[in-house]
Amino acid sequence: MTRKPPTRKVLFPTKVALLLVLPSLALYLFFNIWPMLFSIGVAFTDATRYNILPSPEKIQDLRNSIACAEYLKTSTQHRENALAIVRNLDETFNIVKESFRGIKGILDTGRARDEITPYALNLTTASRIIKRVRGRIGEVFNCVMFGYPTTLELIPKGILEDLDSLLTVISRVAGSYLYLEHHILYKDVVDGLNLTVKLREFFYKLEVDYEGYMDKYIESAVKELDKLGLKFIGVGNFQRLSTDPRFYNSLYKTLLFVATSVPLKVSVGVLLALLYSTPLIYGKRALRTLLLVPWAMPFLLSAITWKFLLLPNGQLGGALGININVNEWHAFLSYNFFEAWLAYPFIMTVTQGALSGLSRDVIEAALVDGASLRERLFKVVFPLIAKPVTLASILTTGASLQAFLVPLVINGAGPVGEINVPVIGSTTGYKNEMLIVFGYNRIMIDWEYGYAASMYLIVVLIILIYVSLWFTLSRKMR
Amino acid sequence: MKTVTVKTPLLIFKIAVTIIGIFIATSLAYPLIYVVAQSLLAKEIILTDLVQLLEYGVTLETFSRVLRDPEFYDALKNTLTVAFITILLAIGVVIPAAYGFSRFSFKGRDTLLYIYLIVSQAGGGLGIIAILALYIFMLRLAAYSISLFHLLVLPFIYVSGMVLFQTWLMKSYFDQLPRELDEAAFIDGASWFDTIFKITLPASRAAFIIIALFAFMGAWGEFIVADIMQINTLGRYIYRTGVAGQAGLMNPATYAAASLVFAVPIVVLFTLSQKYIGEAYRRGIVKG
Repeated sequence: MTRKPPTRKVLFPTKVALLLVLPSLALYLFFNIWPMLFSIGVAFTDATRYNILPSPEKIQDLRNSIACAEYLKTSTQHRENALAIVRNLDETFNIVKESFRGIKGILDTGRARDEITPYALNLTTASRIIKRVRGRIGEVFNCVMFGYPTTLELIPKGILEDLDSLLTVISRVAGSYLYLEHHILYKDVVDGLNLTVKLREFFYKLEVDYEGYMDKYIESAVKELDKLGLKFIGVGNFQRLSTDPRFYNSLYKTLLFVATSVPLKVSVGVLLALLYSTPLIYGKRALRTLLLVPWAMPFLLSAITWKFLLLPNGQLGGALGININVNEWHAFLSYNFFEAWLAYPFIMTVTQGALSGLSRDVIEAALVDGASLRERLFKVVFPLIAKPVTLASILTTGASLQAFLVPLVINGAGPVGEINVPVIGSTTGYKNEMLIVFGYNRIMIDWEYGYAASMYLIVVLIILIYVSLWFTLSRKMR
Repeated sequence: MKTVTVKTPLLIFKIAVTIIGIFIATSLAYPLIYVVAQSLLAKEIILTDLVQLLEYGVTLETFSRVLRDPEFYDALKNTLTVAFITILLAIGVVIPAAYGFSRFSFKGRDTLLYIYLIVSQAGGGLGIIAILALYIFMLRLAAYSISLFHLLVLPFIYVSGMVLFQTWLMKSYFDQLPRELDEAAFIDGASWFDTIFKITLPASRAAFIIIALFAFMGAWGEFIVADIMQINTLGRYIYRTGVAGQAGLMNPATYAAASLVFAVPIVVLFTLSQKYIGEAYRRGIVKG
């Protein structure tokens, strides 16, 4: 990055320069920098799929139903109406319950079905009352009619459905108790009994503590509404991260991947460059072109190829006897293969570039001198390539540190299984989730945006540390 | 006589090394051979041995199946649209900026260039993080009924990802173009507008070609950003169904063929543009 100082006079006005540069800066700022800043904010919230993109209808529904419940609670007139319909219900349910009990007793002891008749009459009477109440509930607790349009019901849907089921059961029992098959009738009676007990309890509570019921409803709706709003939770995400075994596993696997894949790809690249630079080989140019195949293939093609090769029933997977879908270390080994294959052309090209400075005469002179291979390597070749290879290694370390597509395409960073981390604990997760994949999976699979953002904040810091190390090192080497 | 006895062992040694060299190079290129063989296999199984080609036969049916797939065409249409706009946008944004950086001196220029270089070399992870952050931001915008999940947004995202490296590359390219050209025109009384559009830009045709090629290859080959943004490009289609999904395992031959069809434009352009790309890298990176 040495640059001539601008000695010549400035050609154009500065404002033209800014005009030229501005569009690119604006694009970069809006699509890269701003989202990053935004996500720093998100890192301190409980953002999930539900509150980052709440449906406005749902919010309005909840708001209206809360207002409706408040209104029903406080308006004396409606309160009276509401209580009027539930007031007699307790007694009715009691009759229904006793009737079912009676019928059950008759069935249990195997007495004649005729004896059911009085109970059936009782049931029919009760069902008329229940039917009327069922209709009235729609009117008395109808928020739409009070000017609070909402799809939510103050009386839970389940209760209304239970009422309907109870009515069906009663009409069947009361209508056909004489000729229904024993087991069907028996089942109906038991069902009716259970429904009645449940409904009686619900309406009893509603009658006794009408305000309490409405308060409880409001409380749960407010809670529901609260879930739909983004909340600032301070360092909550970071606390969770500090106790998440998956995060430690991710760190561990990433650093391990750096430690294994970097030496692998650098040594493969350097060795290939050395081999294909010796004057001992014919057709160097053609062979070198063949070696650049990983560069010429688009990543997606390489990905599908290596995935097929590495599958347990694929050629390489079968030959090596590895199963990337079951064994985490087999998968980890596969990532190393794939990464080394993808990256060796880079290291090789850099090394070749450095070696091209080595004239043929020097090599041949060394050969004639009878210098051993060892001597030639250590005294002539290595000093020449040391600097560029180190710089290239540092760059490729960044690629390993930020491994993302490699684990993702090979087996989705799996397999899924128990992750044990000493001291921290254990949980189930993707066993080979490298750092970048961890955040990606939290966002795309778990929809935990706040959590992922907090994790990525740490990853960005790690990358910054790496960059500054790289920066100082390469400065020193210049 | 003496020279022959010295040279014969050397010749044999050379042939031996060459054979080893051919073997290694072929092994490393084997994935390409493998995927071509897989795509030609007349049976929908994962190829485990090239001998299976003889066993089950060779067919081009897989390719014609890919080319007859309507979903493939829908995705192709999207990809072409995205790639075309990406090229226009990249040229429109990167070349003026690079020219500005090269020819003007303004406050913060060197710092900015330095940051461009460092960030673009820091690795792909930052890019993914930025895209995912953008995704979250776009979800939030959608809550206010502003939806950016659109085909036409994708080129902007792509170009914003390319801007740093390419600006830097093209800046180095413009540095190599003689300044005298601009200056002569300027002294002759041409306005800066004329100087840029009539003198400098026509003289830097190679820059346009490089940017267009990079933009096209980037937009065509990309799949993970398109996947996050839920834009069904060709790359995303193959990735979703063939790599991440189970369809690839069910029809390995068809998906190998689809990936090869997908790869053809990139490989062809890569080969054709070796000269230009090589030149750009020589002028740009080597100097850096």
